[in-house]
Amino acid sequence: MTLLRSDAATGDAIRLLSAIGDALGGHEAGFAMRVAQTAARFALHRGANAETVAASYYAAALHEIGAVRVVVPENISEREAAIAAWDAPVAGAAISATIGRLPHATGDYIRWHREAFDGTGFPDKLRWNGIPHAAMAINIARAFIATIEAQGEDPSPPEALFAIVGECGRTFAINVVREFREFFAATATGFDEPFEPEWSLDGIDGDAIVVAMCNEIDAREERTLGRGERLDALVRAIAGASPDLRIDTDRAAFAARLTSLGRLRGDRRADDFDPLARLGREARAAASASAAQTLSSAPAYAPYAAIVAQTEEWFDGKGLPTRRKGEAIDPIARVLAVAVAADALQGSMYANAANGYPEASARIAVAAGTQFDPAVVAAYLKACA
Amino acid sequence: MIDLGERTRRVSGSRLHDLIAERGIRSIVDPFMGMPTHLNYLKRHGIIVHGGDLVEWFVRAGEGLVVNDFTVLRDSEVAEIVEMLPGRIYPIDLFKGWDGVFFSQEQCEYLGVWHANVHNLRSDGQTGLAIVGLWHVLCYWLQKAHHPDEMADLPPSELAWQYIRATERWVCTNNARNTVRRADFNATLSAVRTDCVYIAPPGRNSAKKADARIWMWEAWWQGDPYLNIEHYYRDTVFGQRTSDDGSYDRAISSVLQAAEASPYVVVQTTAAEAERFAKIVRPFRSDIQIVSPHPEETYVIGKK
Repeated sequence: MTLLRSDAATGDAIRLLSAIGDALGGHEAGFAMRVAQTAARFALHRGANAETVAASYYAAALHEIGAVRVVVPENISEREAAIAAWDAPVAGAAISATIGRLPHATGDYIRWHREAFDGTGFPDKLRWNGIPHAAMAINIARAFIATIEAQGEDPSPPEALFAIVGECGRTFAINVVREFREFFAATATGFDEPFEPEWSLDGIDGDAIVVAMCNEIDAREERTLGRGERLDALVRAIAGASPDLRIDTDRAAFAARLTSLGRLRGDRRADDFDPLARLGREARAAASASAAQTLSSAPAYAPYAAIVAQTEEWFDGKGLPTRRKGEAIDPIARVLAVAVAADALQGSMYANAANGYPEASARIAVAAGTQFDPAVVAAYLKACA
Repeated sequence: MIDLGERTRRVSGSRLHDLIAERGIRSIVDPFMGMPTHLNYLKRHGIIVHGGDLVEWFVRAGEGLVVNDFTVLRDSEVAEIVEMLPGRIYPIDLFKGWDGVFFSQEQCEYLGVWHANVHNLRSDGQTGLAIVGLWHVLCYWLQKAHHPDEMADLPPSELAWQYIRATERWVCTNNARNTVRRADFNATLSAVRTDCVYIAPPGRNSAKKADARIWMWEAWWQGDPYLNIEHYYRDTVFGQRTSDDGSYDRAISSVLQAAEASPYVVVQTTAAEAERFAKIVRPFRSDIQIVSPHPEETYVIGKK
């Protein structure tokens, strides 16, 4: 499946991955891209060549992405949780290697961007000049932007610079901090303005990267393992069963996979509710909104944001977040609503005769006309038959 | 002012883990381990690790980070290390020889206090963690001597507290017996059987290049500010009378010979030296692979 094939779209896939990293790291959307722009401009200031600038840019954009492979079990100590998080940069380096065509050093910069000059960083506890300076420069940019972000509505870059200088000789190498002070003085306020590296990503399939990342998100929990594949197949089956639905099947299947992005933030306990119950509706709508917000970060994927945001709207107008009704709900979103609910019901205790529930298809059928579009439910039942 | 080396050899536990995980290696020994943070990383990922070194404080650090599975330092125990305890007489003149040369009077006094406190700790694990934590303080002070205006001026005990607390977070377990020993490579390699021997060979003339931060800390641990560690290197297989390429290659060969029982041997070198090391490894391993993720970080991997 390939919907987008252009340099711009691949850049957008990277942008989307960086937004996923933001969600995983608990940052505001756009954080990693601001770090990337700052890191790239700082690399230019340091006199780096085009490849190093591009590597700094992509490594900073993807610096949090490794967290997708770090699943911290519940009920472990704070200490163990902190130690588990040390593996994120290594996982990030491994993920960047699967993207291909990124500058060679990108993986190394991601791997070592949290190392500290004094040897107390992670993952490797490298010290002094064993840490690539470009990786340390990314860490400085990250800390700088994070400090500004933490300052809230009244940010003070000079105060953020002070936080960096305070770590001189401990987290950050003295000479790199010195260069950053010069960069700050020379750049004033334009340190995180939009920046495009001179590096071609020709030949990278942006959608394949995004799909692979959605699969990684699904793999974080046993109950969602393989969910993307199942939803893809189910959406295609529903669309195939009723051509009257008039939806673009590829788009719908792709959007189905993107619903995984809603699982990055929010309260996962909502999954314990019956997928058709009103009880977990707010949490499910919040997940959809979160997925839509993440998708909005990359222009090429923004059209999918509107679709994903509507998956918790109900056909009778009692859904969330906007209480759209009937045909006002995007047709693909109506299909996704059925597919997502049917997948969640499969194998759950809420579609199990032993627990007094009818099977999934019967439960979906009951919700036709209220929660779900009757035409989509009919197609679903036909596909199940 | 003491010279602090610009170049630092990069020994990356995560990279090493990537390499050995691909090959199904479950245990590893490093007979020249140095500061064993790479072994700590491997241990955290379930690899059984063993190490050896001739510098005693490296071995002590290994006892804290590699052998020790559970012992951490509580706040009260850290306080017992970093502060002068009432009622105890301290050898505050022990490091007077460094006063005004490398450190201030206050710093030298603290070095004496810490020396006494660390030697009074109750377990090898605690001692190892304290040594590593305090070593970071020494490095900080030496660095600050070079850049007095750019680095924060922190009270010694506060700095020591922070570093010891940071270090004791590295303690982990892999539910296996991991060892470190103060021994030469022959003793280390004959004491354990592992899937892999990892060697990051000391450079030729290593003693001349020994980082001040390493030998000074050994001097601190031994309680002798005038200690030199040149003889450590001379006592090894690398410290031959003639320091030429041939002697060095023969020394590497003798390490590889001692490592013959292991199915794998991984030699870390640079891209420029990779072919030379591959030639040395070839007589001992039929299957040679060179992996070079970075020009300064190249691995010659030999398989039986």
